[in-house]
Amino acid sequence: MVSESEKPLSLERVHQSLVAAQRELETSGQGELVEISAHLEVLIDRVKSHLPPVQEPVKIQNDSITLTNETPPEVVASEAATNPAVLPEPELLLPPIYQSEVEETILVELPAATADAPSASPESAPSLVPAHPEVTNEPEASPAVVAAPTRQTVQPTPLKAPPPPMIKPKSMRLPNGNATRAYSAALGSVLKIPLERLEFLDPWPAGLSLSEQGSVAGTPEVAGEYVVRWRRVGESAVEGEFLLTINADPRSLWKDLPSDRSDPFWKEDSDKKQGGSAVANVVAASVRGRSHAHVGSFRDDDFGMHLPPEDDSNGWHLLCVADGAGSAKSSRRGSQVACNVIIEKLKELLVDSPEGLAAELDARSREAEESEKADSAFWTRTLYHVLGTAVGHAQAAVRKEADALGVSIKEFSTTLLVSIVRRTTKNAWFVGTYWVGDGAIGMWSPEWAAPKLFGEPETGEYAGQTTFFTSEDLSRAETVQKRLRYTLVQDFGFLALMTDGISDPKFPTEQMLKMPAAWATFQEDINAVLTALAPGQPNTDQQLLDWMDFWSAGNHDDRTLLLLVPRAAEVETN
Amino acid sequence: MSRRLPIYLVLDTSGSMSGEPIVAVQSGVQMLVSSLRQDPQALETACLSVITFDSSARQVVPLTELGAFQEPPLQATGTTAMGDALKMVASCAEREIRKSTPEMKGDWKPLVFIMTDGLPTDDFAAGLAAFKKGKWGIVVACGVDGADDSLLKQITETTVMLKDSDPGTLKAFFKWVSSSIAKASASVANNIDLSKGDQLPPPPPEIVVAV
Repeated sequence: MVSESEKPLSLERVHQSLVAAQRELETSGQGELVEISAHLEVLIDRVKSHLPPVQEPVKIQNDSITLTNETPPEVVASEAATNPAVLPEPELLLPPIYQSEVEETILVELPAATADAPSASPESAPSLVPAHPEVTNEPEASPAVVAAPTRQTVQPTPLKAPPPPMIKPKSMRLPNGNATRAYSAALGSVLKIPLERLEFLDPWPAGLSLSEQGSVAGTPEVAGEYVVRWRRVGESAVEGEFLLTINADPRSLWKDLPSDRSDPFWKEDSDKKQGGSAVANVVAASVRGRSHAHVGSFRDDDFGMHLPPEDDSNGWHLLCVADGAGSAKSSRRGSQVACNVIIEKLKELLVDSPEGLAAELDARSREAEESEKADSAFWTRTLYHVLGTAVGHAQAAVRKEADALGVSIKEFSTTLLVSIVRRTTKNAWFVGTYWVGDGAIGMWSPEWAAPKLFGEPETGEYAGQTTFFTSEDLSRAETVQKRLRYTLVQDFGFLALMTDGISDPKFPTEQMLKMPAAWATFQEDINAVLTALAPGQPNTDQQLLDWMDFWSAGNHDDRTLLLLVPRAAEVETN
Repeated sequence: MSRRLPIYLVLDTSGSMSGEPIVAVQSGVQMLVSSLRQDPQALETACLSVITFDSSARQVVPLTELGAFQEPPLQATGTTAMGDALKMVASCAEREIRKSTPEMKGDWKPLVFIMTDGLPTDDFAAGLAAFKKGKWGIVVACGVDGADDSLLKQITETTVMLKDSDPGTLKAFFKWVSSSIAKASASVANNIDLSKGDQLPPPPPEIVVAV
């Protein structure tokens, strides 16, 4: 019997919720949401057509919803003012989440609760014949309630309390939950009524259920605002309701919008490359960050590499990565030009004219570690010549592009991290680097007590401020020199060049870039890639690209990682 | 733990806000939160705190991640202790914002939105001095009706005035705050420094930028 009379009423409630939701979407002003609201309207009409023949009240309620949505204050004010005696109920305690008055909280804050108000009268009086002309006192009471909001605007004095059926359900807000994450909230402490005496009129959100101990627990599946009404067993009136917000899983909210291919500086959303020389294997991958994919913008990162031919055991490995500034309009082009020109110019200086540095290297690399210190003046001078010249050309090339467009080079802002790597004829490894901006160039071997970090990342205490290669005054020798580092080692595990899309999540602080434990963890993290790379397995680049899809909350920048691993066999035999 | 983007909403709940304005502010906060919850970047990084001020200032919601945030009830009463509010936001930020440590990067510089409809009735200068010692990302002051824009300008260059305190206007303001926060979340996700200008979306017609 109860369920019989309940049926049309809950449909009415669905109708009201839909109307409220539709209005919220409509007024959101967000294109997609407004569109959804139009779809909802169709649904609302269908639901409306199934509503019981209480036509008059329902219609008025619709109007009153409009009013409450526009001016919720009056409804609240009027009801709180008119009905102060109805609200407090000794058995209901405040949820522990809130220190302040629940009734007021909910009344004021939730449109759902406010929108429910008008429904309270039919709901609480299902035994009454709904608003029929023959019930003489009904028309008087009903319009008074419904008209309250409008009247209130003109006449702030509290209206006379309407008759008893106006019982407003007590709203209690439970702690918010998150879709796909475990949730538990104790109702017992909130509601000092034995559970067996309660009857819930609405289901708990999918994935949640009420335990015998009185906890709502489980893993909610669908995000949304939920209302679960309850009444005492044997009572017909709804006495209260629980409000519960389930947040969406942020992962489900990320969009993947294509970048504009017609843009003159468009580039692929991801890029990968792998190659090998006689002594080392190299892999690089670069991918557009989720934050860029979400808005359909471009990948600002880039990389470049040149490897010596397979039969050359002492050739130059030229490597670089760059991260175009997110704030700079054409930075994706800046990073691309910088990488291309750097590799090109280094090739010209080191590969196409092999005399000079290579010969010197071979001569001086007898005792790698010793030479590193003893010949520091030589190395600094030589690196300055080679890398300084190359970065000078790279910056000039970027500037030329900016000039051609008549814009500042700042619009092409990019970081730049370069490494030149060569195995000497004395079987030592020489690594020379130039590094401006955030990201990192580091080298690690599990046998080492400390990683080799080729510079200092430059970031501020709070903000992601960094220096850009494009803003460097390369005409000053010390500006270039302070960015240069080199090392000579007998052996190592891997060399990594990365943009901050990788270094931020994997090495959250500058300090961690210097910690052996952090590098050991990083090595473990990419171990599968390194293991595949050492013997130069095909598709290691795809493997790296897949790895780079890792999830790290708050870290959704473009990611670029370039790895060089000495060939295992070579290291063993030599 | 990733870096958070702290946001302080500093709201005038003095008696002059009572009636329509305070309810519009209330629903404005609610709208702001529910719309930001649909934004993955905000949902992952934004943390919200509400400080209200009338005859004195109090932090009604401590800095809370967006997902767990629940809107506080607002009531309008009393005078306009704006100086106390400035002091309060400075001390809350000092206490709640994580500083960088060797193992962990600190939070992003906080966003502060101050909204008032009146003139301070307490020691404004003392509050201002305390506030100025803080490190802020973006600070927006919003004046309604009786507020003095030249006074607000002392708090921040980014001072806006609302045409009136109609619910529609207040709603437009909160919508703008919401998109400002969304934009800031996107900026920090791309490592863009918030204290560099030009980080706010253009304000709607209801909002006039004070010059």
